[in-house]
Amino acid sequence: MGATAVGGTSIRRTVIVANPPDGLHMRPATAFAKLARGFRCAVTVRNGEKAADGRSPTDLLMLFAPPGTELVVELDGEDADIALDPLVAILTAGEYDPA
Amino acid sequence: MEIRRGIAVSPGIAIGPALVMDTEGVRIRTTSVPPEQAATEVERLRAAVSAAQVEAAEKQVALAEKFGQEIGAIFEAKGGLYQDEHLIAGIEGLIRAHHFSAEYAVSRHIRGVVKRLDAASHMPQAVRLRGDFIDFERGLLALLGGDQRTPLPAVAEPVVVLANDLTPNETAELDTNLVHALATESGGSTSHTAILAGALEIPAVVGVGPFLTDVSGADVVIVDGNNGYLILDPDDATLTRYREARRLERTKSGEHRVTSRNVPAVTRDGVRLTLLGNIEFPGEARHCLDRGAEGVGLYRTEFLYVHKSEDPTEEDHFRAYRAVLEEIGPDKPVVVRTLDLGGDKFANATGRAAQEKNPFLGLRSVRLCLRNLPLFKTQLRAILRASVYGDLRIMFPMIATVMELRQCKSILREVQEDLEESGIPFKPDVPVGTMIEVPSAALVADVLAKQVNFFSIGTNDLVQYTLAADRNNEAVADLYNAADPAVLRLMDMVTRAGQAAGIEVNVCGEMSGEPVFAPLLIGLGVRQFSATPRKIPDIKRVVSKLTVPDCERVAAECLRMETASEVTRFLRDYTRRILPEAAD
Repeated sequence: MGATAVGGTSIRRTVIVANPPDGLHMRPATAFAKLARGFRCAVTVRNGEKAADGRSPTDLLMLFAPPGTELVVELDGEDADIALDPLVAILTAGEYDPA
Repeated sequence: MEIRRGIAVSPGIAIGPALVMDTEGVRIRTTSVPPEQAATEVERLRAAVSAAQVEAAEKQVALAEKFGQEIGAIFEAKGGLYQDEHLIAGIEGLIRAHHFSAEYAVSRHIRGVVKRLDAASHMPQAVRLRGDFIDFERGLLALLGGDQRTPLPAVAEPVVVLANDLTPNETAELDTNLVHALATESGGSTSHTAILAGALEIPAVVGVGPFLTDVSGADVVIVDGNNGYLILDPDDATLTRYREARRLERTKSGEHRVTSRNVPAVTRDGVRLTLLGNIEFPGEARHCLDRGAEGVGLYRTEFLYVHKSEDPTEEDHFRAYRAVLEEIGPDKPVVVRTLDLGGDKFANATGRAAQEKNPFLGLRSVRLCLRNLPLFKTQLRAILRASVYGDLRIMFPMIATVMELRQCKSILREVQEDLEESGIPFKPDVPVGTMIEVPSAALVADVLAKQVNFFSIGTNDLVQYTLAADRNNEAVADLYNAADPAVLRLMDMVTRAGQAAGIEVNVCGEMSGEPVFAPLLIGLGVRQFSATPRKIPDIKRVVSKLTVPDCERVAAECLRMETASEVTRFLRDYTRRILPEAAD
């Protein structure tokens, strides 16, 4: 998916995070995608050459990222700044508390 | 192009679009929908997805209440796939672009995902995810199907059916005119798929190993039942070669059919045998006649029951029986076997049929009928009513005790009395027989013989129950062997009991369709064979080379042997000597 900013200024943020301690499995992937859908910015997660649309749990799962892998999270859009911390928090915590 | 090797169980060549049945037998419509219906399919998909989300949420709440938040959260995660807009959009895209049915689009898309997961099977996550996606597919397919799940007979064009394995109830509902070949991942040469293919006279290859994720419905595949090949995505040269081979084959089999009709089933020393056909569907009565069968020795009636929204009515039964009697003619026997299925196969039993841990030793077949008298009596009434249209005979399956047979006969008498009172015509002297397919029945065959007009040895179940080996389970399939001395001794008891009581002993299992067993069976005293119609010409040919005294020596020799392999080798050598081409 292309990184297109709708209206406003385009803000691009790239961070490298270690993959969740127990891997990017169904729960963190679902939580991550759910949260990503709440933002307007495009979210891409990369594991080496593989790229996943951050809004799709399936895509994220297909990264097959084992624990400790370095993941690249790219955000592109006006709310990239706001989105960055909570999204990264899910990956680093490995768990996401929906409450 | 990919060539997969399996076990050839039914000869012939078929080329056609694939109809893929998933491992649990959920039918997937492979036909596309008309373009104007694509929007409706998208709506159906969306509705199913919403329903699945609700279902997952409910499960999560229920589980969380029961086991705590942690466990509940697992279900939230599983439900997460249903909320994956991208995943759903991908499926939707297939519907819009190719006018696939919603079911097919789901399956096709998930198959792609599963294939990617299989390619990464060295990663433990991939293995776990595979199950999640399969669940997702099943969940959606189940919701999409609902009550109008498209049954197989509704396929509109001829197809090659691909499955992990076919269950008896699935096969019973196949529209034989539209299925050109079968290929399955598992199963051996005695699996139900193999029998079915034989009955339908269509090519089949089983035991191919995993291939379902490599193929989607409507892909063109080739089934080469002569050599045991399944060819996926064939190239043009291969297609041309196989089309030509198929054309030649058709010409040849037409000639074969014509000659075999006119050969009588008489041994070299002039003993006349009766060769009958086994059928599963009314339409197969014609195959029997084409192959020169002198009637129907086993008319399975399960097709009337399975996957119907209601149990068949007396009229449904009656029409099916009358059709076969009329086709076969008034003077040739038609042996109708009463219902031979487990309770889980019934539409009206869904929900209340208890899950049996060991269904083959459970409430099935005649046991089920004796517990469900309205169901049983409906069938018996229809059979009796149809009896006036020809030489109909009734046969009870899976009788294990003398008591069961007595019960069956007394219920039959009740039904006869009811018909009499209502002034409905039926033949009062319809012959009644029992199958001998449970070892306990073979052991008391002398008692049973006094109460019936004929026996029919169902070798498939007799072998399975005698050796306690499921023939569909590859791990123990080698134990399953009709040539096992234990089986032969039981059969010997049965034929002796039949002779002593002066009743006919027929053999209707697959054993009777194998030319190598013909000398043994004749030697044991069997004079009536009932086999898949396709096998009848082969048996006739072998029979014409045999003499009864020789066969009796063969049988005596076999009964002295200690192992199945000794018997098999001996019979094969014997058959090879008298008719080289029949021994293979």
